[in-house]
This record gives sequence, C-alpha cells and structure tokens, in this order.
Amino acid sequence: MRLAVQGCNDSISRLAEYFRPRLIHLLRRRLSSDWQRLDAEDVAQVALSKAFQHIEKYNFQYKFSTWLYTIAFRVAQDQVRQNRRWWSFATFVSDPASEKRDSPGRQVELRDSAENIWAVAQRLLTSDQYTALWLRYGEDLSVAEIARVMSRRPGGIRVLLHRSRLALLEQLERK
Amino acid sequence: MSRSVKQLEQAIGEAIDEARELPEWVNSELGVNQSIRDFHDRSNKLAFLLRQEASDWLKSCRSVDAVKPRSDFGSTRYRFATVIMVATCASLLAIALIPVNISQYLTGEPDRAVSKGDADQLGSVSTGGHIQGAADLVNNSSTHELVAVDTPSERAQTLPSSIEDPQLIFLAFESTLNAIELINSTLADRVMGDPLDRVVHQHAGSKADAENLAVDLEATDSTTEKSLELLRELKRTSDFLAQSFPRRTLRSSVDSGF
Repeated sequence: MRLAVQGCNDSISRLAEYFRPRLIHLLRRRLSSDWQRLDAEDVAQVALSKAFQHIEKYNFQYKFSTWLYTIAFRVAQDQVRQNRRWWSFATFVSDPASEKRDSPGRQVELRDSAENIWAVAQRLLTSDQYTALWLRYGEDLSVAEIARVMSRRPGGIRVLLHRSRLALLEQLERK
Repeated sequence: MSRSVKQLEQAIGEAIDEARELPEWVNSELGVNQSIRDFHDRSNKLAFLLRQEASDWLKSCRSVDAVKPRSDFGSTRYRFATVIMVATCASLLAIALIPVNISQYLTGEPDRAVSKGDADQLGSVSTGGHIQGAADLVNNSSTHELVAVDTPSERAQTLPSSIEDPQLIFLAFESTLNAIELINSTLADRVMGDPLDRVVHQHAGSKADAENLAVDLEATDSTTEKSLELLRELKRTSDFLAQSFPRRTLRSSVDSGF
C-alpha cells in the first residue's frame, strides 16, 4: 500500500487487480434497481482511476477498502444523478426486465450459486441490506467503516444487518 | 428488568456483527431461554456461513462474468446509447430534410431526390415512433408525384442541374451527412463494445445489411432483441440517408461553383 502511494505502478496494478472484481460485484448489486442500472464495470473503472489519481490523499488511518468503496459509491451516485433523465428515457423505450431474464449468464449464475448463502441473500435482501452484509462479512469491514462507505449512521447499519439476518434465518428455516 | 425477545435478538445480532462478547444480561437469558439460545446458535452459524462462502461467491460471480461475453447489448448502457443514436439520427434527418424542401421551393422542381420506396421503408422501420415525424415530413414535403429510382447514382442524375441559390445550404447538408456517418461509426465502436465491433468489421467488407448483422448478434445473445430492433432502425435510417441523397452530384456542383 505504501509503495502504491509512492507511485509504484506494480503495486497499483496489484491493488486494482484485487479490488476490481470486488468493486464490480458490490456495485452490480448496489446499482441494480430500476433506472439506476448503470454499468457496474464502468463505475468500478472510474472509481479505481479516481482513487489512484488521488492516492496521495489516502489516509493510512483507515483501511484502503473503506476509502476505495467510499469513492466508488460516490462515483455511482454522481453517475446516477447525471444520467437520471436519460436512463428514465432509455428504460421507457425498452424493457429493463428483459436484461436479466433468460440471459445465459444469468442462468449459469443461478445454477452454480444455488447452494451458496450469498445467492440467497442476493435474491432476498434489498440492495442496502445486501451491501451492508457483504461489506461486513465479505469484506470484513467494521460497522463504523460500513457507515462511512454507505454514508449512513452506524445505528442504521446495525439495523440493516439485523434485518438481513432475520430474513436469512427465516429463509434457512424454511429450507 | 425483563427484556423482550426482540431486544435480546438484536443484542445477540449486534454482538455477532461486531465480533464482541455478549452482554451479561443476554448471557443470563441464554441459560434459561431455549428459543433465545437457538437464535444465538443459528445466528452464529449464519455468520460462519456468510464468511465461509463469501470467497466462493465472489469467485462464482467472477467466473460468470468471464463466461458472459463482454456484451452490453442487453444492458442499459447499450439501450441508452442506441436510443441516443436513433434519436440523434432522427433529429439530423429532420434537419437535413429542411434544405431539401427549401431547394425544391427555390427551384420549383419536383422532388426526385427521395423515392417513394425509401419513404415507405423509412415509415416501416419507425416502429418506435422516433422518426415517424421525419417520415411524415418526407411524405408531405412534396406535392408532386414521387418518382421511383433504383440506385443512388440514378438519384444523383435526377438532381436538377439548374440549382444556383442554395450553395451554402448544400454545404451544410453534406456536413450533416458526414456527421451522421461519424456518429454512427464512433458510437458503434466506442459504446457497443468489442462483440459488436467484431461483427461490424466481419461484415464491413461484404457490405452486409442490417439483417445479416442482426442474425449474428442474435446468435451472440438472445436477450438483445429490443436492442437489435433499435439497431435496425438506426442502420436503415443511416442507409436511407446515405443512399437517398445525391452527394456526389452536389459535391461536384459545389466544387464547380454551380
């Protein structure tokens, strides 16, 4: 991390390689609602490039992932805001639901991940709940760090995690 | 003071989420309340499962991404880009038709630049309604009977040679056509991504039409039907524009100062 801050290209590439799929995964779920369905890969790419352009501003007091995810979420919000009118126009013209339906990739995704608890979470939870849960258990961020990334209060994150847990436990019990 | 089950569950959940010890009052309740003990156990198992399966889940998401072609045909980005392209072309078409009408007015010649067949074709592809107005404009622009001509060169020959006044209008008109072609090719390359780019290049040499292009794209991804429909509209609109107007004749007329 220190090498990356000092401008080491190799370190920056490794960081990007490690965080890119994580960012895409997180953003894809985060941006999945209605007209906000931006391209997660584009947003991840913009977030990474912004982060590395301003890497000298990174504060070692915090985890790098917290800093990066905070940037990514703000980039996503900016993009949503900028494109709001155009997206609503685009989704008016064509049916967004067709995107996921019957997609071969989606079918593979569903089949392969049938047994995974995260697949259940993805299906069951809201975008915010899933994001908070993933940041806690997938990325191992603390509640305070998640609150910073999601621009919420820690109490709100605790509530999101608790509701996620209740929903998942209920679903597991049904199985 | 007795606590509600909800409060106990919340306290257990928070302790697990924040990886800290259970409060004493919760511990004491665990010893006597079976349902709370169950909840504690199940919550612990869930937290364990979530941690254990996170890396597999991420890997499976990555492998799905790898299997899935980098196709944005079904994504909003693609739909957005296509809609913008169609809307832009439709607007340019409408603008481009204005000088044609002006030239007809100035010269008093019948409209031979736009054939009836092309006008019908334009009308038939405007299912989305984006360019219906432009098609109507074409149909209504001439009070004369439209004469069907087959090729662009024939159309070029039919241009009245006595045009003298609207030189600047024709220059602007030619620029408009160039802009349409530029927008078409740039957006196809940049926005639609690699798969479309590849297919477009495969067919570029053989002058494939929109239908051939569509067949290949449909084979690539079955979810692209709506996007392909928009693409067909775009291609037909731009083909119509490129073929319907006698660019060469206009160019030579402009170069020779009419």
